[in-house]
Amino acid sequence: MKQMQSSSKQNAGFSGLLSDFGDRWFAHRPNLNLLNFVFASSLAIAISMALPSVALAAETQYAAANLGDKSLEELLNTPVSIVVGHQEKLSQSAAAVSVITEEDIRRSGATSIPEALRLVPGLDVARVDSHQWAISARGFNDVFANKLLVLQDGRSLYTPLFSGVFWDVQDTLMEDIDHIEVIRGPGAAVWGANAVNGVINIITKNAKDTQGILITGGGGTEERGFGGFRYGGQLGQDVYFRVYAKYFNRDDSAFPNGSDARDAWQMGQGGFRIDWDTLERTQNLLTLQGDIYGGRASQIFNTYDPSNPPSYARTVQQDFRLGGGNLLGRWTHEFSDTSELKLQMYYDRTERNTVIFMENQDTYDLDLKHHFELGERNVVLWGAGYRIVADKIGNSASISLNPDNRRTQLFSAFVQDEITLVEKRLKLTLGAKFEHNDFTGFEFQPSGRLLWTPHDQHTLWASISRAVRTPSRAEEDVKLSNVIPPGGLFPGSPTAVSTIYGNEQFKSEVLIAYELGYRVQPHANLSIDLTTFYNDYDDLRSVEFGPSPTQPLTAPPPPPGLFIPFHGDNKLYGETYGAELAATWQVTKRWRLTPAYTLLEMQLHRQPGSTDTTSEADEGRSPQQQFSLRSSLDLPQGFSVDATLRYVDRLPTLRISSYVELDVRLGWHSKNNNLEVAIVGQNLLAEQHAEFAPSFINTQQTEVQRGVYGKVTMRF
Amino acid sequence: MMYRLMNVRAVNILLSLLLFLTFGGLRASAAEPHFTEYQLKAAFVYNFAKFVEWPTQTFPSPDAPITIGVVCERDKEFADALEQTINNKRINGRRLAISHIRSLQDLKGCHIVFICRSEKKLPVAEVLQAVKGQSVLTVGETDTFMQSGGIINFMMEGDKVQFEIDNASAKRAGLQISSKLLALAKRRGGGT
Repeated sequence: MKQMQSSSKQNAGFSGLLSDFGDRWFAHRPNLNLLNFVFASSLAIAISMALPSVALAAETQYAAANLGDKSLEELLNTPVSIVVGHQEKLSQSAAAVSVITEEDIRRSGATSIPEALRLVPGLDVARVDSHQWAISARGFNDVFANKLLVLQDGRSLYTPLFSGVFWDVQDTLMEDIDHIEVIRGPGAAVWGANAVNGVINIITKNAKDTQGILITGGGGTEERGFGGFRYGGQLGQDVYFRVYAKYFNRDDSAFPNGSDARDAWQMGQGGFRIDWDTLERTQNLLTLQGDIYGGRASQIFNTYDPSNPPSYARTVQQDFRLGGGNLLGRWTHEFSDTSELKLQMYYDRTERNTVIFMENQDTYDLDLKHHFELGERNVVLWGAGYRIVADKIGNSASISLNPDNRRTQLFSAFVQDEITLVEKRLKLTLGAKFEHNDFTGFEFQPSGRLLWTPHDQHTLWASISRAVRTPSRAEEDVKLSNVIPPGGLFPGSPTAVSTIYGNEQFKSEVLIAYELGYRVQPHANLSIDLTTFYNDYDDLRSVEFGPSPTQPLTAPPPPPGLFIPFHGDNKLYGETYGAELAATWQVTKRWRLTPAYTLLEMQLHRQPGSTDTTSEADEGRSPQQQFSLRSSLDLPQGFSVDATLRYVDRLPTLRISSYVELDVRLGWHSKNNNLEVAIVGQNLLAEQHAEFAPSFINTQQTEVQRGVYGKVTMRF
Repeated sequence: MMYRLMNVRAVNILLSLLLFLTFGGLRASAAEPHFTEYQLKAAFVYNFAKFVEWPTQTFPSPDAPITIGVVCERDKEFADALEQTINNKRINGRRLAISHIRSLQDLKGCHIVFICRSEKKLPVAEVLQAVKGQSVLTVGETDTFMQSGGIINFMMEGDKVQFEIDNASAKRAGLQISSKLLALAKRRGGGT
């Protein structure tokens, strides 16, 4: 009883302090209407939830202490309450972390990694066409969204060529994914440059956990056909392996008028993983894994063609080739329960061969990470890395890079100290990453995070971090030309060519981020996670009028009309702020509800002297509001029903309307789980809807169609 | 401006809705105390200690504590719950003590050993082998625990925790389990 009173007093004190701070701060910023509201409402929620739940939690604890006094008969008749899983570790991190599990992915019916990411609260996932996605967090979404770092088993999927992720080649057998961890907000102090607005980490299973045979296959209207096979076995004592192969064939998306957009694609992929797991005997784990993939995707490109007068433009329908592979080795050594060393090397190759652009890229990476306890209170994590990226480009009139092949290096080192200030209650994490890249030289990315757990069910955290988005190869070396048809500039204007040149003086984009988070488990079956953030960006990319200061101005071959040169620069700055609210409510043992709400406000501004007329409008490329509600229901006899309803706000810059969509999955599995059958309906509410529009690469606007597919999975 | 105002209103409505949803649910289920699986299991383990007799020589002195070894490398929940349960409690004048087992050597001196299902570092079979022939009450929570030679195993029946006892193994270990405890077990091996 005593304990309960003191914790609620402590809590009220803190809430008071916070709102005090809020009042004073906002008094000076009367124009930040929405921000004010976000904070005020977050506080209101925090306070209203904290008070009753502290009392409740204390009561439960008191009851638990007396549980031992119950008789055995009473104990045998006491029901176990349902607990929201996976929260324990998450609630102890001073960052906006979400994890989607293997089960979440399976039950969502997602057939690809980008689609699975729709499950993550706070992420903005938009399908551009059949094989392109725009995925970002906290704004700046684009097909080449450049502020989100993505890794799979420690291998970077972020391409330094364009800054962004080619989502069409990021795949694996969905059943082999163990979980996907997503950090919203800067993760640069550990992960390095380009982890500006978030980090996505896709983790696949240990070979030990994928033993036996798995066969899966199915098909439907949009997912025309797919199949997967995995075999896992043992090569010797402690040596486990798996091999897998998969194939899929996806239908075209649709033009706004409903006709086929001719962007169907098909891919095949295979791979293996070997784990020599002797952690128990010799504290060593050796992992070797690799993938190889290839496929064809259709696309309609609008190209600039100097040899095609009088329009000088050509619309090309192409069935282009994609391919690549990777090989990764990792050695893990546990010195003790609290100290672990990881040494990892990988090689990655990607090939893309389109009519406007060809690329081959080889990446070699070496990475070391080590953590250990220092004294009673410090957990130190440090690491170092070296990466070489070599590319070879096939230039076209539309897109060319000069020079057409380049090798860049990246050196990095980081150190982080997690300091326990008060046992189980207060933790401070200080860290910084130092990097040297060939574009901008040294970069320094520090962060400080404070985690306060005033009570077992309550966690508050705050952070300040600096992160940079380093220039891509294209931003230094590109020449990107588009044809503007007659009359496209002003009435009666002739055919014109606009060309954007790269700029070797291009700087890193810089972010200073402030975050405040609150997690509460007011009840054993309910957890709520709220994050608010304020991001201050400087030196954002702008497209300025006039020739590049570093690239030679070579007027393109005809047309004889207008030639308008542009170049990239850093003359944009801005603020974004918002809130992400996610909850997990285990309503009954068989029914779980997962609501999520994301609010984002972006304000971009031009620096004095900037001639950019388009980049400020990037504000309107990310939805201001997103809401989703996921329901997972287990029925008797192995049946289950899952449904996800999602609302995404309009994108005014791209003229995309807001939409509401619904995915439903009906599943059944046999008692021993050896057979599983599912019917999945995707985007059920409309025949078709638009989610995004292409930007730099001139492809056509398409829409996502309703789809239904069936799937059978067998395990032996 | 109008657009922004409307948005604020929409946010307001959504947040209120969420708040209502969460607290509607909370109120409905907050009436009775709730226990997690490990809180209940900890209470069971404490109760087992009351109904088992160890040979006197397993205690170095008449007031030596009953030591409960917890083999849960990654999961702190059981140990925390047990700590709360046994806090200041005595059985036949003996205090209870918790020992966190990190290697097989740590098993020495334990009277009860609980092995979590999530334990990866110390396999069940190795732990059971290490205490074989000693008077240790082994408690587990996996389907194969009894086959591996464990004495008491927890299982779930719906949302209730139940247990099974292999009395033959207990006798081999020199442990005397009271008939009351045996009577409450779901399954008993090796007779009474």
